[in-house]
Amino acid sequence: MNKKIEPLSYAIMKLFRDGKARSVAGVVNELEPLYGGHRLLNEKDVDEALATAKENGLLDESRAEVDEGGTLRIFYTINDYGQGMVEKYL
Amino acid sequence: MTKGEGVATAIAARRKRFLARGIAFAGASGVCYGLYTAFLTLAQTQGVWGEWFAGGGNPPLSAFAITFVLASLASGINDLFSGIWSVAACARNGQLADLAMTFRSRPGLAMVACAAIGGPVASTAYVVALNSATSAGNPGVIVPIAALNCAIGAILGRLLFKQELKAHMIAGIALCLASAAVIGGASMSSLAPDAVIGCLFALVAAFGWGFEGCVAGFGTALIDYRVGIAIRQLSAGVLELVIAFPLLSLANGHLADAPTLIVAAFSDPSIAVFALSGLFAMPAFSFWYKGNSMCGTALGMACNGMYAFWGPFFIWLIMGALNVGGMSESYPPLSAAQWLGAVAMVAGIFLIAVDPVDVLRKRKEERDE
Repeated sequence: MNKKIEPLSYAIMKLFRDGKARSVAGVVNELEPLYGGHRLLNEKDVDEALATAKENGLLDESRAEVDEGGTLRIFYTINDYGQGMVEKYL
Repeated sequence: MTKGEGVATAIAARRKRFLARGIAFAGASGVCYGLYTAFLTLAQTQGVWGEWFAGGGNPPLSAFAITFVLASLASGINDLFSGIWSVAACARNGQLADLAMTFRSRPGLAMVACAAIGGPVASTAYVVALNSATSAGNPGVIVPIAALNCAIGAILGRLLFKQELKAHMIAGIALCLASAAVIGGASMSSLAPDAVIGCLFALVAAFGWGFEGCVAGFGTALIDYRVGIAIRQLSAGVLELVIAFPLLSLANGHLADAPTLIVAAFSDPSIAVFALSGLFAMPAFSFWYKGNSMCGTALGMACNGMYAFWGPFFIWLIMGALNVGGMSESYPPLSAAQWLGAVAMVAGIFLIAVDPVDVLRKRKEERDE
C-alpha cells in the first residue's frame, strides 16, 4: 500500500531536477500516481510549497499566464542554488 | 488592458497577498508566543512548582537548582507537550509517514541540530538570564537583549543565505530594538553585577534563537513546516529532559533528585497548564518558521519579536486582570510607555517590510504618467 519512498515536499523539489518548467497543476498531475492519496497533494497546498521555495531562492518563476478562466498560472524552474541544495541534501 | 499587463497585475496582487500572509503568520506567532509564555509562567506558580520556588517542597532545592534545574525541566515539559500537539496536527494532515521519513533524512537531522541550539541552549540561557536580572531587581533589562535575536537572525540570513538586508530594513530593526528596550523598561544606568550576568546569558539566548530562526526557517523550503515543527519541538523537549536536565542536576550535585523531580512534575495537576502552554508554543514556533519563509528572515523575525510586547501583555491579562492563579497584585498592568513601545515596534516592522524610497518613487511615476 505504501509506495511512497520519501516525503511529499522532497518529491516536489526532486521533480524539478530535470530543469523543466512546471505550474502547480503540472506538479499535482505528475505526482498523482505515487502520492494520489496524500492529503496535501492539492493545488492550494502545492501552490504554497512552490511559492515558499521561490521565496527561499530554490526555484525561479520562468513565466506566467492568465488562462481563460482568469486564473494566474505561474511556471517555476529550479535554479543552480536549488539544484545544489537538492543534490546535496535530498 | 493588454494580455501582458493582465499577467503583471495578477502577479503583483499575488505577491502582495503572499507578503500579507507571511506577516500575518509571523504576527500570530508573536501572539502565541505571548500566550505560551503566560501559561508557562502560570504553570510554574502552581502546585509542586510553587513549593519548589518558595524554597520548600520535596526534595528541597538549592539556589542553583531553582535557577538552572527547574528551568530545564519546565521548558522540557512544555516543548515535549508542544511536540505531541504537533504530531497530532501532522496526523490530521496525513503526514505521519512524511514525519517518520523526514526524521531520518539529512534536512531532518539538521532540524534536530537547530532544536539542540534553540531548545536546551537558548531557552535555558534565557531563563538563567531572567532569573539573574530578577534577583538584581531589574528583570526587564534582558528583554531587549534577548530580542536582539531578530537582528542577529536577519544578519545571519544575509551572510549565510544571501537574503536581502537594505538600509530601510536595518533602520526598522533598530527601531524594533529601541521599542523592545522601552517595553522592557530597561535602564542601563542601574546595572547591578547580577544584571550584567543576566545580559550575557540573554545574549547567548539571542544568538541561539537568531541562528535557529534563520537556519530552520530556511530549512522549511525543503521540509514541510508542519513536519519541521513536530521534529523541532519533539527534539527540543526530549533533549532538554534527557540531556540538559540530568546534566544540570549532576552539576548541582544531586543527580539522584532528577527522577523524583520528573515524577513529581508529571503527577502534579499543574501538568494540565503545561499542556496548555505547549498547545500555544506549537503555533508560536511553526508560524514563526512559516512566516520567515514567506516574507524573509528579517521581517519574519521582527514580527515574531513583538513577543517582547505580547509576553508581558498576556502575563498581565491572564494572571493580573483575570486573576488566574490568584496572585493578581503581583502582575500590574502595562505602562503608557509600554503601549507606545508596541506601536513603535509595529512601525519598525513596516519599515522592514516596505522600502519608503521605493514607494515614493512609484507614487511619483504614477503621477507623471
